[in-house]
Amino acid sequence: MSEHRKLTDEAVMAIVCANGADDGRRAFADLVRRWEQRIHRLCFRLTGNTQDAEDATQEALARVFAKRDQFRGDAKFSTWLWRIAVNAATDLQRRKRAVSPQHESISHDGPVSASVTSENRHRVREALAELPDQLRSVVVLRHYEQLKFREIAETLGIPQGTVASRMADALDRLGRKLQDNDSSETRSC
Amino acid sequence: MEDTMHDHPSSADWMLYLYGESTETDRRSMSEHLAACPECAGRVERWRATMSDLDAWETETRLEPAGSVVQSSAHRSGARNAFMRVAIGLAGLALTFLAGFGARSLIGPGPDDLKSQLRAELQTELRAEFSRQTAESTALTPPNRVVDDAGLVSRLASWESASAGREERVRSMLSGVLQNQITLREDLETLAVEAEAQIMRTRRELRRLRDQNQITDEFREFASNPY
Repeated sequence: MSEHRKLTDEAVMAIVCANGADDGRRAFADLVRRWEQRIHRLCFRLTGNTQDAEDATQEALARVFAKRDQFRGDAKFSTWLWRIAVNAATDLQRRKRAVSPQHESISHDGPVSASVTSENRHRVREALAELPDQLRSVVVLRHYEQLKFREIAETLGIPQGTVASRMADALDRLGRKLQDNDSSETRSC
Repeated sequence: MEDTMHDHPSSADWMLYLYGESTETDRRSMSEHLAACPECAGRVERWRATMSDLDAWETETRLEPAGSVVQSSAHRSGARNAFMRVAIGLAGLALTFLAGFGARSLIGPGPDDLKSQLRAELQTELRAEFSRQTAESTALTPPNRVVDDAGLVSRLASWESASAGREERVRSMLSGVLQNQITLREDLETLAVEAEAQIMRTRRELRRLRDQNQITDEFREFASNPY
């Protein structure tokens, strides 16, 4: 059981920053255990495949540790962490696109199936992958991670109105894409 | 926010409304506007449909409000929900095939041949579907330790020593730059001293020449008028 379980994230970060090798790393490991699943889920939705999600998660957590001295005690840890994670996932996608412009973020983890549920899920994943990075980040943070628009604004460092506008833009594009998929499937029947 | 037919709320306002973040006053006002404005009602309806589509991509992990991960219960409920999704997917697939079997049996070859063929196809498809659903569920329900503790600590240790190495190199560079600055300053001071000495020598020379010219002028004057 974590020795820091009753402490807030900010309090644990203070221990990470103030302490030497062993104590600081133990505290950081506890912090990782709190957040790793949620960060992984965020990265999975942003990157669209498991391998990239794991790479981005590792990168995000390593950056958090490396930049721990930059964390201001009066700020909210979660906001800072979300920003690092979103940047890590986005950077990974950009690097992969730079190396291989045809890079497909969506991987098929198994043969495509006729199941309606899994097909819908795949359509959504594909539609999300086609969004620009800045729109996809907003959708994932608001719709899936349930952050408020104000929190997303703090995380991304942009005005709240911009966040909400991007969300509307993203829903418009997703709606058209998902409708197009519906129409093409109807025509092919 | 004014609620008139010609004063539509912005897209950003609608997003706050759809995600339950509008103030009570705004929410009432926008609801009244929706009832009276078909254009906005259409937009909102399309957005709601898209939001519903997005919900097709579910996730399993549950979180406490402070952000800590409820690992054991989330993992159990995650595994249970993953199993249910797989089971429902497989059931849907089985029904699809049974419906196809019913149609084919009316027009195709004998029932025994059809049954064998159908069984083989169904098994193949179910295995494939199971693998795909399991892989997808696993992606959304990662194991308790995505990041291995020992691996993380070791990686952080190597990151730290790499950072320390970088810091040392930067310190060494800065020290070199500082040394260069000191040397440059000494050179400039030497140059200043030498320049001043040269100026002094030049002034003395000029005075000597001036004095010499004066003697020459006086001699000329004496020479021209000795008495």
